[in-house]
Amino acid sequence: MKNLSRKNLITLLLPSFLFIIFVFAVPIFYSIFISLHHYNILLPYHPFVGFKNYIKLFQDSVFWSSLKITLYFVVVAVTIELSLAMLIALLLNQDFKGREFLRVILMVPWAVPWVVNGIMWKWIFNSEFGVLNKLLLQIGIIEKNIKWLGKPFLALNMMIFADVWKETPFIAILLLAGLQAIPIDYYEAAEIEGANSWVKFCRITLPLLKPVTFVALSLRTIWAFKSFDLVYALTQGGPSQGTNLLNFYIYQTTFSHLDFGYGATLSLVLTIIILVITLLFYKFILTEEE
Amino acid sequence: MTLIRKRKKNTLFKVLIYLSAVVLTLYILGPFLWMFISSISPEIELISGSRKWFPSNPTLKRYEALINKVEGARFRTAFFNSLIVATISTILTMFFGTLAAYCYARFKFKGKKSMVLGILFTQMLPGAAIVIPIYLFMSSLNLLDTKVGLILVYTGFIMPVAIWILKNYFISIPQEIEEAAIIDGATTFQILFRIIIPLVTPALFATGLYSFITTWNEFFFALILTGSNSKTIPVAITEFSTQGGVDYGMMCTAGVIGSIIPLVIAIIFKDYLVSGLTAGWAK
Repeated sequence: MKNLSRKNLITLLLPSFLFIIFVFAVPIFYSIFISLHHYNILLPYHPFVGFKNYIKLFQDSVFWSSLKITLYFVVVAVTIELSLAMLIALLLNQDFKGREFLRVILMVPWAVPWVVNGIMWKWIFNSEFGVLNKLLLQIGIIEKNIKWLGKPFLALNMMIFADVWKETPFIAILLLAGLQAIPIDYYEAAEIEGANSWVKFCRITLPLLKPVTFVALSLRTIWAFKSFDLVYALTQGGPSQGTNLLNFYIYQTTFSHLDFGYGATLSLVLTIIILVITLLFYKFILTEEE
Repeated sequence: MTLIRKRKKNTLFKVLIYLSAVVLTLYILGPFLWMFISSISPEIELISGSRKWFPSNPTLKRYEALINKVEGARFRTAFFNSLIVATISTILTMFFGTLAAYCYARFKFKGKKSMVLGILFTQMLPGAAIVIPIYLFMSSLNLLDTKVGLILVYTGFIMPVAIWILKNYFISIPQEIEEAAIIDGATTFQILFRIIIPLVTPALFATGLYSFITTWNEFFFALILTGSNSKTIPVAITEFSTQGGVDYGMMCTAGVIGSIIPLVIAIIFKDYLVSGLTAGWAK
């Protein structure tokens, strides 16, 4: 590592730095400012209200139910995605014909735009003409069409189903890269010692895969908290706000009800939630390593 | 005896593997294929509740409508908007991001650690926390509903990720090469453009593809910052399902067309993307 002249350093760093400042840093501070005002875009002036927006949040039942739904969505979706991704990665780490093909098609859900994922499942779940009902009717699992997106809790779970399809492959790709980085000698040594597959998995694969699993877990958790496109394209938060994830609620407050002040407040609270959870993750992994 | 049992176990294992491979293939491709099949099914078959899995009279009518009929004009505009916005944002990000990533990978300077933390922090911010001020800035600069405005936002938006991925690539290049060049009297910029960049071209390519796909697929900012002049493809796609009655056939067709570019890139350049993704996130 060496030092670089001040002039060169500024030339190299400044342009990208300015972009990041104007897209992230300035806006986040300005959001804090807005959150302290009664800021309705249609009104000519925006009085300072102190922490009124934050107090409002504690009495806002929609916020609390949205937070509950979001937590359920994040925990269930991320758990399923990570477990499924682990199975997929283990499968693709085996030697069999067609493995390359599978690795290629794993890119499909990752590449498809999130909104396309939303409309695709909206059509599949359609109660009258959707293919899911058609399939289940043909097999004989159900006797009449089910309104998959018609009841709040069922709709939330169906949304998780759609999210799992889109997000699992990315984690599987990360985990597979982790698996391939494990030296084969470890397994060979264990075999000589007489270890069976299960022991090898628990004693070699899992511990060595822990760092990459942790990264995947924290990334997915952060991203799941930020889910928006899927809600917008699949359910618009309904029915009876049963799929109204926080990020979507913030969008509605801000751009449908035009309450910029309260919208900014909600978005900052979501930021803090994500930040705290990420820090907890890191604290947990650091104490584990000690 | 044990050998036979072992062989039996192996056959069972093989069958299990192939079975899971088939299930996985159906699971991954099924939904997207169904969207495609729906897009070429005549309206009557789409809503007849028929039990067939493939239309008896497949039609490309909807593709024709979107690709060269008057009714597809707005969709085509959105497609080209996306192409322009994603391409220019990617080029800008790659150019400035490379310069910054090289600094992060190679030099010591004040505030470096907090800058790296800052980069990670940007990834935790929900779009909603920054979109309101951005909307207000754009509106006061008269950049709302313009491609220029969206390009500026996207460039900043993907910059941290691009720097992060590139930085990890730069670190993996041995420093000796540069040290030899310094002894020969080369300047920092000569080293960067003549030596380093040619060495990391595959990495730049991978990061560029990643940036392109991310901006092509981005929806949240596009929804809020664009209107009829600069609408991008994800926004145009949702309009088939939210405005007035839902036209599922058109919605599926728009979905397929909107996915073609990212899909083709992801499939052809799979190895580049996977190496970029793992370099960026697994480290």
